Amino acid sequence: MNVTLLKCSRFLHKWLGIYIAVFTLVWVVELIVLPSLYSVEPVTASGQPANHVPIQRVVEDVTAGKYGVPEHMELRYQPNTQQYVLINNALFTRLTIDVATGHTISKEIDYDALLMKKSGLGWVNETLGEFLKIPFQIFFVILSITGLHLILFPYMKKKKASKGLLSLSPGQQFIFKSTTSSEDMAKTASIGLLPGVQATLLYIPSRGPVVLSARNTRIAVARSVAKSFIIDPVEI
Amino acid sequence: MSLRPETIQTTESESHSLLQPQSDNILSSLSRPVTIAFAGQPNTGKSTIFNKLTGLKQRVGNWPGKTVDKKEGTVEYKNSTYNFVDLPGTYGLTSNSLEEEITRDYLLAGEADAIIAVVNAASLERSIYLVAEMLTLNLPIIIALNMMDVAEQEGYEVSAEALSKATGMPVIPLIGTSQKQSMSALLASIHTLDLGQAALRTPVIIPEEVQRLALELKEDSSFPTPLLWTAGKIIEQDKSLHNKLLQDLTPTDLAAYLAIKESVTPKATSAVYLARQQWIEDVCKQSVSVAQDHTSPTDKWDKVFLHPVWGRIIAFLVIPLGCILGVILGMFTGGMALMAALSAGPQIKAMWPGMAGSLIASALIPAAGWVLALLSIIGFIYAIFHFLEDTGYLARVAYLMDPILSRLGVDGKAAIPLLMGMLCNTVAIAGSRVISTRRQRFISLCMLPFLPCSGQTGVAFLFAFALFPPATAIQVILSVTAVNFILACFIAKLLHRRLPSTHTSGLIMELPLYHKPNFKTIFSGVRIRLELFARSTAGFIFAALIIVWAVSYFPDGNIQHSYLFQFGKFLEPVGAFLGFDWRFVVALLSSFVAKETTAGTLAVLFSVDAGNQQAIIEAVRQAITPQGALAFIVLSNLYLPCLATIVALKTELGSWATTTKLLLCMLAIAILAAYTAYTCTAFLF
Repeated sequence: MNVTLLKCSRFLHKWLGIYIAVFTLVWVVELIVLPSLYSVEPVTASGQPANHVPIQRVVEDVTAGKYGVPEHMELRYQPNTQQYVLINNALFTRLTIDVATGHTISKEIDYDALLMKKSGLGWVNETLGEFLKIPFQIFFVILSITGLHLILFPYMKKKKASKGLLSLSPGQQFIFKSTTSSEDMAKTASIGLLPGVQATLLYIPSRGPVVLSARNTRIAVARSVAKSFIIDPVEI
Repeated sequence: MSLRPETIQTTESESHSLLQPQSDNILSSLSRPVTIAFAGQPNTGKSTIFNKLTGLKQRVGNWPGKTVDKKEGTVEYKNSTYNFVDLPGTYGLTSNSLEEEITRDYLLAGEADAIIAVVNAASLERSIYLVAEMLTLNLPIIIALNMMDVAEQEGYEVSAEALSKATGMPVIPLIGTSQKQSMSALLASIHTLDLGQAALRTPVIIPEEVQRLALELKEDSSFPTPLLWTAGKIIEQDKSLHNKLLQDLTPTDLAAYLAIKESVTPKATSAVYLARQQWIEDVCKQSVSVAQDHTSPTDKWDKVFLHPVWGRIIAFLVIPLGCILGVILGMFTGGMALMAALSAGPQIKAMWPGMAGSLIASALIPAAGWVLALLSIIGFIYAIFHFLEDTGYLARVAYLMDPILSRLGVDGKAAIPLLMGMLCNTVAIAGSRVISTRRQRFISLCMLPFLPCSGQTGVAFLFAFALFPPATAIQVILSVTAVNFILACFIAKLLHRRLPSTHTSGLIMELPLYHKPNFKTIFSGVRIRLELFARSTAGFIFAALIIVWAVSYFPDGNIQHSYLFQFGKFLEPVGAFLGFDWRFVVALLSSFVAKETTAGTLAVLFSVDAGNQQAIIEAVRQAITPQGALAFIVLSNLYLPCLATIVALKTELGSWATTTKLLLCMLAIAILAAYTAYTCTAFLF
């Protein structure tokens, strides 16, 4: 049961980790690239009359398409600053207009809206972006739980001793006796691993080939080959 | 014994041998030119010694019917002629690779009169294994005890005299990388080598089982000779010999062989290895002493270079930087020549109007430019990689890449050509020889044309940014490159599953000791590689450019009436099927010479200035829809590689049939992918 749970934890941790890592990388790239793709034109004098501009006038201008496609525009009035704020939801720009003069005060990118809509592959398709963002938090919680499980598992369950070369620790010496594969024997012999040779395990990474030293020769051996080695560990 | 370059101005008296041959039974007494094979395990400095001995008087070619380099050199010494043959490096006489098979077959064929066995003094116990195997061949052997300096660096002290006593063979201590190293002792030793040496030494390590079996195999049978070697390999259960015997033996001998094979016990097999181990141990006990508490510099460096994180980071920096440096150096030399050749075209045409001027300007000079550019890029990249290999670092990169690549049916050694393939497929294909087994090399060679080279990437960038808005262009480039990688991996995986398995239990690879590289050997290697490339590929590049020029020139010198134009018109339905007109078809056809020519061809066909990129873009935009443009980019990235790559591919695959099959497969995949891109992306635009 524990083994099944461990496998399940490993599987989830691996794939959710990949998902979150890839997404994080995509976001980082998007944070750099997206703002540069949505540039704003410099603010120019609007030529509006220098008296109070009623909101109806601004609405008319927006409807007439003066500031962009009307369907994408959103108009807000800010009484405390005496400004109209025109938001373009397609180009992600914020245009601030002075109520008193009708002049454009500033035009800037609405980064929050841009990143909200376009990040997380939203630039490919907004629905896809939304869809991909939904499980992110749940995945993160599962990733944390499975990560804790994987860290604590060795302490929860006594480690089952494996046999052969892969059970040794780096630096441990052993006597090479033979391999279970007669086809590998000629190759291992020619590279320095003859029966009776004393060798040292140098590196045993969590994945990939192991490195051992025999007769002052460093030999990288695939794990599948190392498994077939018949050895006698040297007790010090 | 501690040896330094200045102390090893070897003299003829330094040849250590117990045997004092009779003057009428020595190698120089033969009345014909003497052939001497240079054999040794990889990383023993064999080529360095061979180059030093033969100098520039080398002949380079291929082994008959094989794509492995064969180097030969002749030396005149005291009125005798010695022909040296540099055999491919081999760990033993069991053939696990093409190179090992060549070495084994050559030594068994009896063409050599003697062998110079180059061994690495720094790992004598391992590298003398080949000598142990060669003892069963009836040939006199000289041991060239190379890399004495590395042995000292590693804390090993090797006595050449003691080694000679223990083995019964002349032993010459050498430092191949030293400028001061003289070859006179080695030559003197060859000159006085006892032809009867073999008879004195062989019984020492042959187990009883092997000797008994050798007596059972009759001299006049169809078993390969020497019978002692054959008997040993039968007991070892050598698979390659087994396959050879199944083919070559007469029915009677085959029946006898199968009966013998059945009776071979694991104990007998083990006895063969134990006997060799015993011999090596005895020999090394007498000749090697190890300094106590000496830390090997290799161990210190490996803590960094083999580190699972730092090692990979360093490898991912070093290899691309090496490739980029090679390309930059190549572009600043041969690349400049190419640019000069291409820009000189209009002046030549103006100076020399007519067919001859057009031929020179459009075919001969560009072809010379391309050959020079490729030679310089290949030369620099090969020199950089040879340098890394000579220091011992490249083997570490292969080790680090193995976990990723082993899933695709190739081991870590394939990482180098695959990374190089991102720059230039031709260079990468030529460099695929580092891969040890034929099967893995075949898989890598089939993967390489699918990887986008710098030319293809350039074309994709140009067209994507010209025909799409920036955000879409980035998506297009990333998607097309991803398709390239996915297809390369898919092909590798498919071949890995489908190809007959030839004992691929996994990586068993030596990680050589770090040592100072020998620049003469590097330059010699580069020279040979360039010579072979020039001989095999340059002619094809010239021929192809002349053919392309001819079809675009004739019948009246106007491309709009040329055969190429007519052919393009003929192929227009194919283009229409994928959403673009005949001009794009012709551009794709011309990119067959080099991927970079696509834009230039379109400029000619749209009748705009080839140097004015904006004009090309505007003209092209008017003539193609976004879907068609996407299909064009996909097709350009996946369809046939350039001509130089195809020729290199044929040279390495060794057959036009296999090359054609691979290219047809690529073409079919490219058309299918382009069609999919054209039809399934309408909703995006």
